[in-house]
Amino acid sequence: MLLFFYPLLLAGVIALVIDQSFEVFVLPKRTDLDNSFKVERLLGETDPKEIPVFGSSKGRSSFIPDSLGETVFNYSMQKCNFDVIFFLLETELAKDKDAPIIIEFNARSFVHRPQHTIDLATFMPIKNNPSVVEYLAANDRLDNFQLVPGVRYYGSYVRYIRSLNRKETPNKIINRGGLFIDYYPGDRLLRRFTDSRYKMIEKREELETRAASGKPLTYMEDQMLDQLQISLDFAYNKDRIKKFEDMVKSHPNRDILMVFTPHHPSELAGLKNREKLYELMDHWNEDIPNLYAFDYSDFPLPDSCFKNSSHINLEGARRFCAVLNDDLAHLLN
Amino acid sequence: MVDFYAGLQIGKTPERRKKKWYFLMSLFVNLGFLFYFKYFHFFTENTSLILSRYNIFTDFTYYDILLPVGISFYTFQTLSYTIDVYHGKTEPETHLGYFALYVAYFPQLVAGPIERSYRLLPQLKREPNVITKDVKYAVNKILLGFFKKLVVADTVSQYVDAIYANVDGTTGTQLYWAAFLFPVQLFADFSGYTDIAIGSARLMGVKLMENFKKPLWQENHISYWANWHISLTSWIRDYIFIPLSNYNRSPGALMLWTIFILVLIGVWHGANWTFIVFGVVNGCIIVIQRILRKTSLVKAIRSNSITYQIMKYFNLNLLLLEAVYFRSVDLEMAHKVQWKIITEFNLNFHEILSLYKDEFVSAIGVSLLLWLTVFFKPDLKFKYNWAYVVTMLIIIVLLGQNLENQFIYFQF
Repeated sequence: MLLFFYPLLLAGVIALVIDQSFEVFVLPKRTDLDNSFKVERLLGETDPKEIPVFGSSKGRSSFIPDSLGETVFNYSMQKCNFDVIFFLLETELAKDKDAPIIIEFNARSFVHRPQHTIDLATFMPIKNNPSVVEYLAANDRLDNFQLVPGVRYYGSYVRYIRSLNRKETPNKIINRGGLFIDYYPGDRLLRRFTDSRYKMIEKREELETRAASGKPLTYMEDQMLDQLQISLDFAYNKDRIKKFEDMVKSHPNRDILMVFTPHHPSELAGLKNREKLYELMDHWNEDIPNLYAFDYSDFPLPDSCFKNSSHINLEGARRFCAVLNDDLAHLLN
Repeated sequence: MVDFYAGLQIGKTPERRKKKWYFLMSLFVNLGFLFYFKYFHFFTENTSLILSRYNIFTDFTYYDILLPVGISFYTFQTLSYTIDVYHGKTEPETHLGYFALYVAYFPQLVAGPIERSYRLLPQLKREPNVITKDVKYAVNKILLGFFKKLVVADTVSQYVDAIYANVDGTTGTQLYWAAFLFPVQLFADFSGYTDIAIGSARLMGVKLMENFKKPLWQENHISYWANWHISLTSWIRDYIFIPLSNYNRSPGALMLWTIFILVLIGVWHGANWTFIVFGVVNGCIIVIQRILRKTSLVKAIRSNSITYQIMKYFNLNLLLLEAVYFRSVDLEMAHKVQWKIITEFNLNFHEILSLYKDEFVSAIGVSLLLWLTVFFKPDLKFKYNWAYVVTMLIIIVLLGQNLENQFIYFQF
């Protein structure tokens, strides 16, 4: 069996060299747009005045830190919902400070599917962060190989290298964790995006009707319906909501500002249980003193303020933040 | 158990009628299971639909049937045993343990290659004799399989899945590239599994058949199907096409048999109209290409290396348009994708990169790497074979995706 001992040994040595080179040369070049950079920053940040913004890519493209205050940092990340925000919030609430926390939330915020929503690359490098290791393990998202030098970045190398390309350009503004694009796809392309959403709504209706009539769906149709329901409806997950409320209540000194950011009308068209969303926001505003909900879902923005049917562009973010700043001024200062 | 018993009885009994009875019993049970688990819903749904047109309304009970993994593979494998025993090509297996091992041999149980009893059973009975060369071959093959699956298929799938999930929001050009990359994904995924299966079996001293030989870059569909999923196509050729063509060899009948077996291959994959149309279209194209290949025009194209390569590219484009049926949920979606490709395709590079740019670039990059493996095949006599092993390991660690995606053919 010595036949493969030397090749394996050599491969192991090369992997370790690559691993070390990666840590020394690549990781330090991450920008404040990189998810893992944000997680590390949050874990190490001790400024008592910093106001963190947590959220998904919608949050990343909606909250301009410069517009909201000098101490605001946008920790929003792509695909980030409460599966990840719980960890960020726990970390932030454990700090000895009184600054408010802004959280972008949307219809999918309370979807609980750790396998899909907790992106492991977000939490790299994890070796020096026991709390991260513990959190991933608790959510069954820790692969043992991630603790083994040489292979711990398996599946993530390309993403890290890609993230190095994210540099500011004349139409791409990076501002303390936020990313704002000065781009409008044009009427034709935007209509294509919105039509696609309306087709999704139609498809969902069709599949739901078939399923309700007792006819079985194929495996792929079943998966599709599941996906469509998650994409279109408000995920009213009682357990997740209660967990969040308990965390907020246990830290009465921290104001939590929940902001439902501007959405394109096509994105809300398929939202069947919108009343649940309003009920929840009313409940937060009325029953939990340090929890404030702001609804900008119908914020009037023309199509030219959208980058696509899910995200606003730089102009949209500017208009939104101008109003948001006025509305939140009394809570932020 | 039924096949084991049927095989024994067919071997024992001298009476032709009784042999036939046991043979038919085996066929009925095997195909019955396959029909029930895989095609029952499709059959009842379409029967109801047809009858309703004649104002006959049925009320079939729908069962939530869980499809056993790999049922199409091992059903065909056991069927080949019974057919071979019936035709006297192989001796019935008398040891239940060996027969069970043949049917459920783990490396190829869920996704093939579909092995014949006369090839696999003798190897399973033999004392394993694994030499250094076997181990080298096996490790190279397994690494190649992991490379194909983890690096190529799982990277390409990210682009293909994203585009197919948003057919209405994407352009014909973007759909063309997704359709172009899907056969690459399918090939890397399926042949990757086969390589791992072949390598694993070789570590135990068992040689499984090759299932793929550069199928995508072929001059016509005839050679494509001769090089794609060989264990299935050769099964259908030996057990269905040849008996049918022996029955009637007229040109018209041969065309009909060709279309029929391609439909059968389509239906083997699943109970959906997309697979049936996939088979019909493939069959028709093979018939047309058979007629055309004898013409002077095609002979002239083949005689020039440049036009010959263009011919292969044209064939690849036909294949990718047909593969749209394979990837789509239903016919409506498939036709929408094909229509958009045909009417909207252009060479605007900006348009291709305007959506899922990173995924597209990565998919093209790993596809080129896959293409390179054709030139850098492991040579067992090569003194520095270890360099191949080390390179593969490093590429897998660096470029592999941690997506936990299942193999596509597990669903069949």
